[in-house]
Amino acid sequence: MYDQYRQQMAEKLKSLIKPEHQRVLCVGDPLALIQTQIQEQGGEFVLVESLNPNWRDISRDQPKLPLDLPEKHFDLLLVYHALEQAIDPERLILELRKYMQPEGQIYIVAYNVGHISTIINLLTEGWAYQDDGALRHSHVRYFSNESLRKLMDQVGFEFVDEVVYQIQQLPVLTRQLSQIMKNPYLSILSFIMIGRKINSFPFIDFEDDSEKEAPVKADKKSESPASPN
Amino acid sequence: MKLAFFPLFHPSSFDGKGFQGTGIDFMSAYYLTGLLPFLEKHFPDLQTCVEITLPRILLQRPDLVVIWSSTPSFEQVETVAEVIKQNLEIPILLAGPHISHLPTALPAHVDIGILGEPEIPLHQLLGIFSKDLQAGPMKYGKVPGLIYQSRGRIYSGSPAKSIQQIDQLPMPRHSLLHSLPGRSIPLVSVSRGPHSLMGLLTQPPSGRVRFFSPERTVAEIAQIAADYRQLYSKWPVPAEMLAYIFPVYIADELFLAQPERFQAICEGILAQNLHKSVFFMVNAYPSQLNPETCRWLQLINTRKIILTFPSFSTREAPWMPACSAELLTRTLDVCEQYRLGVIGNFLLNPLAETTRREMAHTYWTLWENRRRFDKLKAFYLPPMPGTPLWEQYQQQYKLKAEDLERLPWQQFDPERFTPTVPLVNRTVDAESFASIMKGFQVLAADDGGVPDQEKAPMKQDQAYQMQLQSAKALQKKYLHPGMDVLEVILDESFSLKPYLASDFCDLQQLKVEGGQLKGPAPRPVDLIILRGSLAGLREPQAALVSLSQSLKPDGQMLISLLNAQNIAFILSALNWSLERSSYPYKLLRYYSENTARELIQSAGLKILDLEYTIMNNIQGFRDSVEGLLKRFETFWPLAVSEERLYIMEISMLVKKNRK
Repeated sequence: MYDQYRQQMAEKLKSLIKPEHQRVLCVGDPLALIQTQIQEQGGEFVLVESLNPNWRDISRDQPKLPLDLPEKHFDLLLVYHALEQAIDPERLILELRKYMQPEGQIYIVAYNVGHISTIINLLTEGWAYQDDGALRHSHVRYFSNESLRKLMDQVGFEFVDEVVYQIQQLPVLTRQLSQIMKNPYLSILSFIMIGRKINSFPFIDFEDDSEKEAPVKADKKSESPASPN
Repeated sequence: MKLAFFPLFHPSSFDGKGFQGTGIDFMSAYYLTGLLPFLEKHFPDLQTCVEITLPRILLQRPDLVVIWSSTPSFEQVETVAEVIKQNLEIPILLAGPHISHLPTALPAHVDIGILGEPEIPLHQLLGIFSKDLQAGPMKYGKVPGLIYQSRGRIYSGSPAKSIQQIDQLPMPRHSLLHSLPGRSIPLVSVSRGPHSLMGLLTQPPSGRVRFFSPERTVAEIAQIAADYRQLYSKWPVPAEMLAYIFPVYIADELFLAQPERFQAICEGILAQNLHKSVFFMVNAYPSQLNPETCRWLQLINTRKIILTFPSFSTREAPWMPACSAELLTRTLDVCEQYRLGVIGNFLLNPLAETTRREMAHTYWTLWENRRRFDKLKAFYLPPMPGTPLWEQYQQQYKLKAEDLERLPWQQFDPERFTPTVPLVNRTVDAESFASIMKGFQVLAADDGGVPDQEKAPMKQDQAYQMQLQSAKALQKKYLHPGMDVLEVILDESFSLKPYLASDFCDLQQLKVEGGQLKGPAPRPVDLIILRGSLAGLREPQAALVSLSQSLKPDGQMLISLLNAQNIAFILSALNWSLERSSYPYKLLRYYSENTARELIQSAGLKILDLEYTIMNNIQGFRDSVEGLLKRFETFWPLAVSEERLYIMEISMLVKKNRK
């Protein structure tokens, strides 16, 4: 299931990459398809893992992530199943934010912990870690739609849009549970959250005068990507 | 003669489900609870009433009305005075902090404004009006402390005297506030001085700070406790529950200002067993809290500290102590140590010179510590007339009374905060300030990892008692005098050390931080205890292998963990609220019995004993389990063991597998 998911997700992300995304900073799992695409177009693709493999361990005790990169440089921050592996996801994004251009975008891909497969895993195997999915062996954080939006809010990105990756398992049970629990995300395996850097976010780069510019409102009418399914 | 008091509230106090009773207006109206008994003592035939809506005032048909207003509600004074005048044609008096500080703002339909403390002027006025309800300026013009209308002009007299011996004032009638829902019963232990934030915002001005004596303060607390018992006399509340249910809110920030007085009050509370009848919520500045103060606060059954602090700065406002990251962190540490919940009241703009750098530093420190607050509130402090902020605004903007209508009194709304609104801070423009304030509000809206209901005093106490019982049981079963024990700690609240006698056994500690063990075990030990800490390790197998090297040949490990297959956890996952559940943010990995067994075996360890903590005695839990299983049985024919869903915690005693 997850091989197909990875393949389809890479294709979906490829379709979301726009011509203006010339310089892409990627954190998380490798994304060979996107890397090839960007590089073939003469763009720049940097994988944080290749510069500093300790990105997962950034935390209060280890708050900095030294990267030999120019600040305010990248058009797109691609967070590909990285938040789930990070001890302190908010701090990770905050650290990477400074390498983003003022108008930079963020695509966060993260598994939905509330997918029906996690519930079934919980009931039958008792939170058994797996090779991929929300309960992947390397995962230490778990996300929902709400928590991803909140994370963006806290680290200075404005929510623009979302794309969901849906996998139906046990559809009748899922429908029943969705109604009872008022949870519309039981069949959603993962989210792509699309955001834009808020230039007026006042608590970062506060010594830089450019941060005092008026807030830039996101264009809510930007193209709304469709679900892979 | 019938005298009606009409405390005005900002319209937002009536939003939603009726009267909310929040904010400056509510605390300002508290003054009436002391003023009424004072007047009744001197005028035994005086009839009084307190009403909070205009129709009720008209219905009461008083002979005289006193409107009580602080700055947020002041813009309503003109309107209500006009309606009262048209309908009742009675003298209208106006009192409160706003008119006292801005006497020239006396509205046209108000006859008399009372400046400063109202007791003495009002006493003299009632003496005049009780003889002649039609008395005019000729009769009351010489009363000190007034401003009044006469023939279209405004006149003011000499300043009124303050009451010197405030202990002689009658006890406030707190029951007046019982009819106003939404707040704990407040108590102000310092009276009417200019040097406290509460005094500046909510009380009429006076010349100097005067403290109530410890005896008087204790007597007032005793009265509040008696009032509660009277009010709820028909409720079957067991005596042992009183200390969890009835709050006394110490509203002034000078309660802790004089250590000897504070200690005398605490001793009085303990001597009268008042700490068994009520619990306390105490206003404080970070600089006032130290281990000694907190020890006393804990002794008198203080449950919450309302911690007021401004943006970090080395400069200090004359009316508010400065704060720093170190001070705030230290304060949170000491409050945690004495199990005092902290409600953070963060004031963004008290100093004109606060820089963006200082605000950002404050933000990130709060962000780091956000889960240590029971609640965090971000406040914009408006330029209240009479406060130093008002003076700063005056120097900068020359504000007039009508400008006050545009200021955000109750709730700062960044979307409506426009660059035309004057801002006292000289280092940021209004637009940047709005986004800064919005950032703080977003941060403040984050309730952290502990749900509200678990912040309640009784829940906190239950959690503590459970920890205590669990530690005692563990000691009885596994610990012996003279043992070498290593405790692996993820969170101080799970630590065994505070519950053990210091000479019982040699207990070393090893912390888990950032998903890793912070260093090796100091030396071989008989027992390693991991109470919940396994879940904080990113590489649990490697950590267990490493720890097992520190065991003596017959050494054992006691591993306890929360069961992820528990119904509460499953419902959290279903409701996509896992990350907001009571499971602390420090937990990185979750286990059930099966997965824990696999982990332990893979680390070369053998299970000697297994224990479960089961919770199946709560009807709600049983309903949830049965309901969930019924759904699953109907639509997904796979057997799920019901018993497992009731297991809250699993404890495993393990040792090295010699094979």
